[in-house]
Amino acid sequence: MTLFWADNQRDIQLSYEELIEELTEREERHPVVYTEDPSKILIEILLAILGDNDLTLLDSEFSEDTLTSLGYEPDVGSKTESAPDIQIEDPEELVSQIENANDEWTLTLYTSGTTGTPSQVDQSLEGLTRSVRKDERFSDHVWVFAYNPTHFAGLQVFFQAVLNLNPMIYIFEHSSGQIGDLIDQYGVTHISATPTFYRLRLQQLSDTYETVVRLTSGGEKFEPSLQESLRESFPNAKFRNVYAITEAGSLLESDGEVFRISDDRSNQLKITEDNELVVHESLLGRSVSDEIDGEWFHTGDLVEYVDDDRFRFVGRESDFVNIGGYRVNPHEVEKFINSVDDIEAAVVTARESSVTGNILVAEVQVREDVSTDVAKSRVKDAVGDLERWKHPRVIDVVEKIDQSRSGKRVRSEGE
Amino acid sequence: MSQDTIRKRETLKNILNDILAEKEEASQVDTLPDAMSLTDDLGLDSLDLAEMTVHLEDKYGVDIFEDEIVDKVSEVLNKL
Repeated sequence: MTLFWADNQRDIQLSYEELIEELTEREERHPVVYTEDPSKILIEILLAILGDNDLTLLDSEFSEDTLTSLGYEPDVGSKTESAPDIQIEDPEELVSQIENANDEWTLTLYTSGTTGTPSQVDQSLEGLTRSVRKDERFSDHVWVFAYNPTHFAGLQVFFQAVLNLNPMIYIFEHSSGQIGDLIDQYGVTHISATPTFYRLRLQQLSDTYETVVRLTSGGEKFEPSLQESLRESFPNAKFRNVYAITEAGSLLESDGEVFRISDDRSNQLKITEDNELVVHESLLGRSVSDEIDGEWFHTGDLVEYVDDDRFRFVGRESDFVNIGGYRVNPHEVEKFINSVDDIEAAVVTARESSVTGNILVAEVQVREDVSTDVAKSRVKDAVGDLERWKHPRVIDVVEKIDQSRSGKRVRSEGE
Repeated sequence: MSQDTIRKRETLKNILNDILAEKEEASQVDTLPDAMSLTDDLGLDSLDLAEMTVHLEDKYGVDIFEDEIVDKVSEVLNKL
């Protein structure tokens, strides 16, 4: 028996053989997945690929308001339809059926988008598995799963592991102590996680884990000092930094914070005169390539050159701020607070945080008869239905908001 | 224990209780033992830690996460 998935918090251990039983015996499938249990999400993905059925993944953290704005009913995740008739004999056949599945098969997922509302991205199987490497030498790899499985990075780990029949050990919602035990227990060899996760969970490990041979990260700035400190816990691990965007998947790789565009990608990726990385339409998911003007998709990610052809990422050009890996538009949050009767004016800005990149700070000016405590509770109520990362974590009640700050503001350094 | 440390511990406790009050399934703390872990014992996530940090920075002018990750109460107090 080869382990497919372990989730100790939910007491789930599923082998590839049991997975195949689940896939072949299922009578119903969910065309739209909205659940907190990662294993259910991954099984629905496989059912959809093998049956050539479209599938939509909704982040379980999406609020009801977000679901409504995307056109979904709150109970959309409970709707089912007949499952496809799947015949698979053994794990090797599962892999070959995925490899031979329709390349045009489409998975719909959502990126945080350019307006703060999640925007739809349709990814083909070819796009989702473009950076997967399959080789007999990888058969003894053991992965941790440290992402939200509805996010692109999580899907990358999923396809890499499944196509090599590797186990995945779920550690996303686990404490550092539990993670250390799981790495030991399962002999984990490969870790892929966001820099925030490395900082808050993996950097805290006090033991040494010699089985780990690869640490992969991406998505946010990854400081060299973090890499250095991880070396103590993972002395045998090589480091890989991946630049990926939901609209196009993995695009660049490096062994640190400095990247270069490889020769085979030189016609598909380029740095503009304004130092922004742009991506050719041939690399984009279909729904995105329909929307862009011209041939190039603007990522909004700015770089600085360290020599003639190597560069590092320095930030984003837009008003958006990165809060723990999520893109947030402070204007959107501000609008919610400004809609409260007792509040005369509100300004929401980002404040730099060494933990999450940024957090939101709200400055509010209230009617004279409203106390500070009531004002704060009104603000919390106003944003209560937004995702947690959009909540202002500091609320300052002020006598008068400086009018010069309510116009176009610099929201935080380096954006 | 110096008066200064006692005051800092009390300030930290108040900040943490304000954060815990907003979290579902979290209860307030009466004491803050040195060995208490902010993540494992109190269940704070990255957003909670970021909030705690800015309040401490406003009060003491120190970004406790600037150079390294701290997790135990004693480590936080040592930074202040």
